[in-house]
Amino acid sequence: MHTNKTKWWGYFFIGPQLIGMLAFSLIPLVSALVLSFMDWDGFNSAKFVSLSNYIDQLSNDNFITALINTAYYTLLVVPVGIALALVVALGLNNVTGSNVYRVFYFMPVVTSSVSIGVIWMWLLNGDFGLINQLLSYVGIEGPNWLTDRKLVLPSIAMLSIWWGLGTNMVIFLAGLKGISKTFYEAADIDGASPLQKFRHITLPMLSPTTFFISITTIIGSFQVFDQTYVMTKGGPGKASYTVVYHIYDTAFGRFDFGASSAAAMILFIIILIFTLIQFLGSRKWVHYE
Amino acid sequence: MKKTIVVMIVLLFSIGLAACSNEEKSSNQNNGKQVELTFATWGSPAEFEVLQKAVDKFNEEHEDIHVKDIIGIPWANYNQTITTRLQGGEAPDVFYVNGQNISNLIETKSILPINDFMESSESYVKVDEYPKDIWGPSDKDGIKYGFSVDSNPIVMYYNKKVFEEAGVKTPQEYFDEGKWNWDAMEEVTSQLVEAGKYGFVQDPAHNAMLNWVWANGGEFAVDGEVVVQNDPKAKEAFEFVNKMIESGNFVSGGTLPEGQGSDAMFMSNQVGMIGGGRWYSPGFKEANVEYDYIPWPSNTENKLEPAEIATAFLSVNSDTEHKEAALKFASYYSSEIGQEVRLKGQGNAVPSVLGLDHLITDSPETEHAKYLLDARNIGRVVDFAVSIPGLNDELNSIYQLFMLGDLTVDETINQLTETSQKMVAENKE
Repeated sequence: MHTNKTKWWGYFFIGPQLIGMLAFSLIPLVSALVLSFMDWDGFNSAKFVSLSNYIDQLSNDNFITALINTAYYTLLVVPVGIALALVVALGLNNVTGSNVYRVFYFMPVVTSSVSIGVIWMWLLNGDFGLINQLLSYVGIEGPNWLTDRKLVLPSIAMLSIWWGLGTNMVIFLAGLKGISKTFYEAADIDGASPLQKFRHITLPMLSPTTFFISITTIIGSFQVFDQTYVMTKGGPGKASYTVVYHIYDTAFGRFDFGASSAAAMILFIIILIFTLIQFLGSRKWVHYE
Repeated sequence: MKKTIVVMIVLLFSIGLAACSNEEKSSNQNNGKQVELTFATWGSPAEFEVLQKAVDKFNEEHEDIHVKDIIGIPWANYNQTITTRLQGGEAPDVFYVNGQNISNLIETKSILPINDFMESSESYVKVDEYPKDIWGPSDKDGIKYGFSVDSNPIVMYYNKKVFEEAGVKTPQEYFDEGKWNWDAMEEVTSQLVEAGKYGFVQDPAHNAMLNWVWANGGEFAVDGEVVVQNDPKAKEAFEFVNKMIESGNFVSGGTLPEGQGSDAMFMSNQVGMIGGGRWYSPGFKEANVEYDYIPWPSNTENKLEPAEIATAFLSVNSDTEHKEAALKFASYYSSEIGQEVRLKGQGNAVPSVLGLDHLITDSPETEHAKYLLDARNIGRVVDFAVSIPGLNDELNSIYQLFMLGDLTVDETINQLTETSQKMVAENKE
């Protein structure tokens, strides 16, 4: 039975978290929503402009370019990133000394995005980057990864996959550890091959984990910013100009905080739709024990 | 229980009020004794040393005002940092504003107009102490919003060691013969490339391109109207830069990695020539690089044609609690005294107040430092691209593609024109 006293202690303990959520999530979200209907330069008083910021953004060339670039980047990062994390997790699941490997794969995750960006700028440099240096040993003349319009997004995607691998791998590993051995023992008795066990036991049992990872990775990919900001500033031209970069650029480069908030809300809606589609689709392929 | 909650709320408010009253008290005490000012700018550590000299001298001479040590903000995020801090009410009392940002800050009333103060006896500097053309975008309808701290006419730096080792005739020799022109530029950079060096670093930026346009007697925009598409002289400049990049004589600054900007390449003797203001000099001097200045090569009958004058302004935060003190410091820092302290010996800029040219001509830096004055006397402050928020960045992203060879000269000029006209029209709405 909950007395009033215990109830208040409960509120006391969740209080800091609740204040944090209000201050850093809910209030900014509501502020962005309100601002998206305003014309505001960040300083003078805001003017209500109804839906015009949304209409302007949807016909804005830069925003359209940013949407296309972001969708392309997401397509590059999500399937490869998830598949690679699963392969690595499967590889590490029953390996002796796997902790060392886990640390090895997880290390990029704990490194700051700016440091990662700067390091990869050096690695990917066309003239004296390490990657082109290595390619030259096998007779390949490496391209200018970050200054070639066609290669810049795949290059950033490559870095993002490497960077996010550790997180997804750890989650997959946790998922793998959660699968009861009895399923595999039963399959062994039935004479199932390793491929059959993977297809009929591992994959279905991992489906809630895969579902979670796909949602978080897609959201993360739609929100890509640090890498493009540090490494390319959205260039060359607009080849790596992404939606969040556009939001930032509109707010701080053009002092149009209303339009920037409208772009942010459109991104929010896009992510929400994608997430809802995933939830609806998940009924068919996600299996809970 | 309700009683307990009421008691807790009262307690929280009491603590808050106590904190507020303490702040007020300390602020009042401050006012009674010595006003403390905060001051921010961008720059390299070597530049901060130069700039700090004027702060120290001001502090020595003013017991009632103390300016804290310079707050250094990285150039890459300078405008955004200042904007965010202004919005949050946490901006410094006095801060540098660059040409690209000052029109935004004027529009948003974030910085104080300075005319009235400059006319008062409190000001260390008067309007007529500066050349008329120095104000650029800091002047809006005759009202000025930032003291001109100094000026940085763009010249070319050449690395004497690189030229000597490559056995290439120096730009100075061409200049002495009256032949420092685009043909000479092509000849010199070709020879440097043959010797295994980079010839010249061309930044993919609007102001960097204007130097070539102006050096050919062309124009990009006149009275706020874009004219580049109908100007054969401007087109010729684009064709020259295009040819130089295609032939490898020029390398685009946009393809250089972080930490390997034009100045780093210059210091490590990889490139023969770079363009820039005097801001590079303290770092080059510190690194014992043997450099000299040469004016931008002209492609007209004239020996010299205008190049850009980079300018920065010292503005006072509209929300500062110490307006008089802040304006006083800003005027001191930008006055003859402030500029003399900063720019004497190895300064990082050229004086903008009149009558201080001796700081350059007497400088032990190099006998050709006088070219900085020539460049200042004939140069121009860029204001078209910076007068519209975001336009400069849009133009720069087109220049990036041009200098990567992704756009032809005609495509580049068309895109620059379309983008400029579109954004000018949007800005008028």
